[in-house]
Amino acid sequence: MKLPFCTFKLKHLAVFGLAIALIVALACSSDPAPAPAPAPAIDEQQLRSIVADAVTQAQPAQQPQVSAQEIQSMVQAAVGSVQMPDLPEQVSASEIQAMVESAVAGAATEGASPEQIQAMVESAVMAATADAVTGADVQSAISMAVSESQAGMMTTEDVQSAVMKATEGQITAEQVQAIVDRAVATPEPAMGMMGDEPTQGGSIRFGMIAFNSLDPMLAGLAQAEAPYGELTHDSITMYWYDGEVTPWAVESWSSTADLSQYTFKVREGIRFHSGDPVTSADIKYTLDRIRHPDSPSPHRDNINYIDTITTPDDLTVVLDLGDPNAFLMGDMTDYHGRIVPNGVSSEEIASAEYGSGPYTLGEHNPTVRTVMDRNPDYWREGRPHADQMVFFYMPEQVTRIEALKTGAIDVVLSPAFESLGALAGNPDVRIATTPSAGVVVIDMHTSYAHVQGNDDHAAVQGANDSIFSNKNLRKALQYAVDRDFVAEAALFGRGSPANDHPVGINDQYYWDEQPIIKQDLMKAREYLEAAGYGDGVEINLDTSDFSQMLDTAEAFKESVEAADIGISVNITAHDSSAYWTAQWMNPCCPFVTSAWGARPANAAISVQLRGSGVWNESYYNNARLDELLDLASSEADFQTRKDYFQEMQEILIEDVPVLYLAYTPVMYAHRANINGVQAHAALAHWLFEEWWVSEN
Amino acid sequence: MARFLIVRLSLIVVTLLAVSVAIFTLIEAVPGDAASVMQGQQATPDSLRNLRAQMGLDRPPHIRYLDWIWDAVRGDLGQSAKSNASISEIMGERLAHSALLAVLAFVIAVPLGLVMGVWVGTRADTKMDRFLTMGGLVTISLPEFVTGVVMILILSSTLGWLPSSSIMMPGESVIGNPKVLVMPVLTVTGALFAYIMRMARANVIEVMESNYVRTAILKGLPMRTVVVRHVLRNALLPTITVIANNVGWMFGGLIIIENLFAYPGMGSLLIQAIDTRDIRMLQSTALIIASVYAFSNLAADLAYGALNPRVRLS
Repeated sequence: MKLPFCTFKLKHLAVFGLAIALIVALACSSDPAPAPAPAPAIDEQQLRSIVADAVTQAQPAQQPQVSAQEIQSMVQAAVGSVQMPDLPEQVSASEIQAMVESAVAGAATEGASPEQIQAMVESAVMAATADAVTGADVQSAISMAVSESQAGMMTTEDVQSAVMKATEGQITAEQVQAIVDRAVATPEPAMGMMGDEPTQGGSIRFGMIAFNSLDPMLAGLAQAEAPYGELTHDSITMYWYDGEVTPWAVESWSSTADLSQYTFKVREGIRFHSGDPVTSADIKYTLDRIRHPDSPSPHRDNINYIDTITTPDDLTVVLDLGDPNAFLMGDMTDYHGRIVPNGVSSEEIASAEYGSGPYTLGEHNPTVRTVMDRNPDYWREGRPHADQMVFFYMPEQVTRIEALKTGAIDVVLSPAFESLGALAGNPDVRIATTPSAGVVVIDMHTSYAHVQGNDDHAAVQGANDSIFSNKNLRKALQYAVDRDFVAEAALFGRGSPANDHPVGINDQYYWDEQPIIKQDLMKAREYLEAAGYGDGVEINLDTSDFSQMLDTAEAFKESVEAADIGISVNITAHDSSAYWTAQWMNPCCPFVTSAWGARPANAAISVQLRGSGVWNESYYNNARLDELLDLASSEADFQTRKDYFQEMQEILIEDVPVLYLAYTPVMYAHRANINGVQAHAALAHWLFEEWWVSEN
Repeated sequence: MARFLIVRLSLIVVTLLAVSVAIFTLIEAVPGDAASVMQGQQATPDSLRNLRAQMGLDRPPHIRYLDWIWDAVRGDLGQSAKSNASISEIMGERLAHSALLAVLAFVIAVPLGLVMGVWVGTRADTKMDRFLTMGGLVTISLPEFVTGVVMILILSSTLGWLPSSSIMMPGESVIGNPKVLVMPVLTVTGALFAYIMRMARANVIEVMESNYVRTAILKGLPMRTVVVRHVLRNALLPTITVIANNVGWMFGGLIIIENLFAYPGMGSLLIQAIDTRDIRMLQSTALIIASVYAFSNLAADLAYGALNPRVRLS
């Protein structure tokens, strides 16, 4: 009697549980709310589209922030309008509940976009009908392993299809029934985690790729050094979650009216782990180390506009910039600029920890693990919460994800997008996410002429311009690609389309009325014709399996070739360890993928697009853009600065030296008992000291 | 015998030298060095130049090679280019871990493989024989990263019996956590066992068809005596060479397996060294692995000589 209806029932059970969970979760995440109403049963598709419609309608396209209350009322309205279920009292599917709870909790605190919420709800619904290991789990795990180990004994497709065959129909009706029975038998989990007070203690274990140098000024982003730097050191300033520059080791600052001289007041009472106080001399030394002509720090070129630094007294630092600069305080948040004590040599800093941060370095074995212990004398009251932070070095993505699923580790920062499907189904794992100005791009080398004779660009000396010096070809590609598709496919539904400039939509200098570029095959054809490629063109795209670049390249190819306007794309994937040396910014490869972490507008444009810039990866040269950058940095009035940035965005959209395709959100995957985790949109900011461990 | 040993040992020294030159040349030929890999996308021409100077990478390659070999001969393996940590310190513990993994796999796979191989070899073309032969073929054909991942998904993610990786908190050791060894050892053992079994089986079948075995059977010796006295000894000779050669092949597998399970051994260290272009680390790691390979081949030749007087060298 039961069996024939099993799958039918299950859909209802899932939707029913989902509805309860949504209401309960929302009730608990905001303040008191009525007890869950008798729950409805509607078609899964119906609920999905209701939620999706409600969420998208409530939001204009430019502002993807949705508050918890808004979601709550939308969902309640949607749920209230449907009839009573055929299958009443049976359900309390706590697994589904926990998943949706995590999805909504994430959305409520992080301000996720409607697309993200929808994707989360959808994946929760999907996951509700399956057990821990699905065919997709196996498939994604194996495809990861295959692509990561470069032993080419079988092709990825071979393995995938073999495993798919093996796992098809793995989950039988009986198994599903058993899962539901178990869920019904399990009492509802205690909720209300959101309101709990942080407790001190416990340890948080991270799965990291590898560790390079202990010296903060050499920290790389892909490895564990940047998180290590934040845990063990203090910054001069930090971005808070809202993107505002926040006082940190420097408690206040002022500048002259023309923005050419800044004065920092150092916070009293900060001590290095050695016990010495942090003084103005330490801040001067930290910056001077980075600014030194022999400095190996990649940050050097970003702050070389500082002329001289003086320290009138122990708590005052005066920076003379020579030229005005409105963006100094933002540059002081950079993760290379963690404060180290005056006079300590680079050799010493590279072999031990000299910071003043919330944690002190304990055991450090750079190929196995790094242990950091709570600094009881940290200057921020009541921080940090966790007693211990441990990094484990696990180079394989699949190993980190599996260890997170089984609870061997607690956190994976930047989980690969393709692993999220597998994680979404796990009730013990949460994803903290927030939109960011991080972006995946395709560079087009526009011109090598302006860097001839420039030692910083040795690779392109004497090179002939590429076909992409032809603006009409760049414009053709701009309109040929379907950005919505790329954002969806390359970022697994988590990205949002970008608009051919690096300014994030939450940036204060984002041009609000800008025309959003949409795929337009008419225009693309016209430009292609004008470029002289009316009969079609074949282009080579060089990429590497790093930061979703390979997925972006493949989505681009698929999108452009499906448009059938005569553009064909050949993708070559290169080894990621040599990619930045051998292919990127090299005339061999004038059409290459790149990926950028989130930077504020001025930093993003000036490092990526200024004619003389060392990371001008498309060899773009526009005198007006450079001039606007200078004008903006010396302008004290916000509105005027904003106008300058608007013109820069206009120029970039018109000239399209780089195809900025999709914004990538910041994401951390963590165990449910790690609390206080809030995804931070700024580059290399985590605020680990806010994280705490609860039992279970 | 002494002369044979001296010749072989000096050949090993030459081999190791050649290996170190080859590795150095190869890693130099690959694009990117330790400095550029460390800075990746954020490298600027200045920062790279200065970092190279700081790391000593601005010196010509042959100077750096001679520098390394001079230090290595004196027993100083130097420091990791990226983290300043002492290489011999890092390697000591890891060598023990890998040895433990390899020895365990060997101790399980060799006797089991030999016994099963002889057993099915004397029962060629039975159902059991076909089953084991096919099973062995499948195990050999699947690369370790596939069997490893499948094992993680089954034994760890689904059943929750074993940890999915070998990470350990401070103070814990591999010996104290034998659970972390199970999956890596099983993965290595699987392929090795199947390989040895198939080899032993093939050799047994070949010997079983020989004239002297037929004679032994026809003259009425009990089957057990025929197998133990006549078949085994002749069938095992080539098998032993195969096992010895497998030591090197197994290290190849170990590299992938250790990486997959985040097992703190030589294999995962080697991968890290390659990924970061840490030449000193790579040279040292590779030389250790090459030595193990060379010496196990020597041991195989000695064992071969002991079993077969005809090839004994003087």
